[in-house]
Amino acid sequence: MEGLNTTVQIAGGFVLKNPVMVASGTFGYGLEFAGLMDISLLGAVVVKGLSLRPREGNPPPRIIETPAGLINAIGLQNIGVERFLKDKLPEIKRLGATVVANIFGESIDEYSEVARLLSGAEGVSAIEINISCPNVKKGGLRFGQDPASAREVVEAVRKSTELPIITKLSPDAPDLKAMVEAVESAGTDAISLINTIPAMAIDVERRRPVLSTMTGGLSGPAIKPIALRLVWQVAGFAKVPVIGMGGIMTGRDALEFIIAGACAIQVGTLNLVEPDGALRVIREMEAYMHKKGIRSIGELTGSLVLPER
Amino acid sequence: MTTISITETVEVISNIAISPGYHRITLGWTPLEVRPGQFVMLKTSPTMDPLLRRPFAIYNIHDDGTEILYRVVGRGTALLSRLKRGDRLDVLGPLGKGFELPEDRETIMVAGGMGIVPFYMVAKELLKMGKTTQLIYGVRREEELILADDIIGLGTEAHLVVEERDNMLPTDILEEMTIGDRRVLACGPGGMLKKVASLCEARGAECMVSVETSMACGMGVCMGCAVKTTDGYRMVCADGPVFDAKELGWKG
Ligand SMILES: Cc1cc2nc3c(=O)[nH]c(=O)nc-3n(C[C@H](O)[C@H](O)[C@H](O)COP(=O)(O)OP(=O)(O)OC[C@H]3O[C@@H](n4cnc5c(N)ncnc54)[C@H](O)[C@@H]3O)c2cc1C
Ligand SMILES: Cc1cc2nc3c(=O)[nH]c(=O)nc-3n(C[C@H](O)[C@H](O)[C@H](O)COP(=O)(O)O)c2cc1C
Ligand code: FES
Repeated sequence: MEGLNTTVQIAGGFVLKNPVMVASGTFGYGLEFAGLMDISLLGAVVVKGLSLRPREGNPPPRIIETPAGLINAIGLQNIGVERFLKDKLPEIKRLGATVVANIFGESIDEYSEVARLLSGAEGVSAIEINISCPNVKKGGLRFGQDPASAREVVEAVRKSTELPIITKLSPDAPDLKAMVEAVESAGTDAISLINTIPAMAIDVERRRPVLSTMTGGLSGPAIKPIALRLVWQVAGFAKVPVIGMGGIMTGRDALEFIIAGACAIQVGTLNLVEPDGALRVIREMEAYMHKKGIRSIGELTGSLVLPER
Repeated sequence: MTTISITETVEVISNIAISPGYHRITLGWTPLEVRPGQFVMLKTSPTMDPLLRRPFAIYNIHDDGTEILYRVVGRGTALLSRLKRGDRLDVLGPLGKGFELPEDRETIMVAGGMGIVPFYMVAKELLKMGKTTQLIYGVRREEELILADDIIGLGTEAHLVVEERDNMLPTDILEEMTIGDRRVLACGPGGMLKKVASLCEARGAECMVSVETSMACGMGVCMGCAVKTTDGYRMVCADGPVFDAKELGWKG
């Protein structure tokens, strides 16, 4: 829309044309959507979590719908960083998208090796470190719950790349403040949250867990109020920019996160239900800015009006 | 072999019960190209609950629209059954890889219950290719037999089995046939598919099965609909729903 400034600078040269990114694991490698929408209009595409070697993922069943939500236990099935760089990245770039590579490792060395390989390639704008996946036995959430381990991961990645780093936090960390301080001191450029919330469903007829892994991660509108509260809290003490997500389905949902203190947002589960939903979110945010006479998205970040005492 | 799929809000042309619990909905939507065995994802509610689209095989395509046959089993299908002429519905498709129909040999279709749905288009395609159409159809209850009326109307040679009445299964009929030089196409409950696959394996027949899993996106991005294959986990929505039974590693 004319006269609106929707650009967001996350770090250095990492600038988004608008604050709406699509979340890791819900947009494949971007290419699957190319026939359905213009992916260059997105703030950024965060690709499916990449590991050093291809990962098989968990046995089925991997997903179950719950009221206004989805529990998944995919287990980070992915093609591995090398095939991503060779087969996917050039294509996504050709389509004009800003690409953020989400990474995952079972060890600190693996995280830093994946980051090193990515930074050697042309076309990755930033790295998002997933230290918060509830669906893998090794790595993942273990790093995401303990600030000292999280610090080590981020430090190792920091040493192996010049790219801007986003650290993605779990809603399950016992002490988020300590966690944020740890990853900030390790040199993260931004923080994103929330990853899915550990959750469970039981088949009453058979008295068995529905998912093969027993528990999984809940996403979708059901988690939005919780995600919003966490983003608001973290934005209160974080020194680096905060990227908020969790259940965003509309422009108004996105604005709640921005007003709470996020400088940008990600939409996840929405992409699975409405492939071009993220573009609608952008349009709805712009319409709001227009109506309210807000010229720059930055004016809204953290603009929450506190109740009078 | 990839068809272009789209998401679109379309009009409901009709939505009628053909038998208690079984409905046929016609959508004012005609995709450019559809292969038999492909499916669509329908948003059964414009609200956030149910959140996910539901997968349905494409039953028939004609100039005025696309037909889906469905059985009411839960909330999403119940909501679908309440839609009326003129209502609007969001559809994503066509999706997946359908049945590949061989030029060099005859086929036999084996269906159980709602598994009949993709075979109406398979049969039409086979007739176009100048092939014979043969169907073995098994149902639990007699009122489901109505689902085979259209395909029989095409002149298909059909063997109908009502499990409770006849005390037999579709695979019992397949077992009595000479199938070694055929390609068997099957869709239905998992147990039936496995039996069909092992029978084909024993007789040296080719066997293609259409399998079902829960789905979220239907387009190969969430990795939620995984099925184990000899080549690791593959996605039923994007790599299937039709697989060569050998790939699924189903043996005896
Ligand atoms: C590729 C594919 C093609 C399909 N084609 C058709 C079709 O042509 N016609 C049709 O009627 N259905 C078809 N189905 C099944 C259909 O998608 C489900 O019946 C539907 O999603 C159920 O939604 P619901 O909200 O009504 O039920 P839910 O509330 O989700 O579930 C209600 C109950 O139904 C069971 N259920 C859910 N999904 C299935 C399933 N896939 N198979 C058996 N039981 C299930 C659940 O376990 C639960 O007990 C197809 C599925 C796939 C994967
Ligand atoms: C099917 C699925 C797969 C996911 N895979 C990843 C992943 O690989 N890496 C990651 O950091 N987050 C992953 N996530 C989490 C999302 O990126 C996001 O943090 C979460 O779903 C909350 O946002 P939402 O409610 O908008 O979906 C996944 C989520 C879903 C639903
Ligand atoms: S349903 Fe998402 S990958 Fe198949």
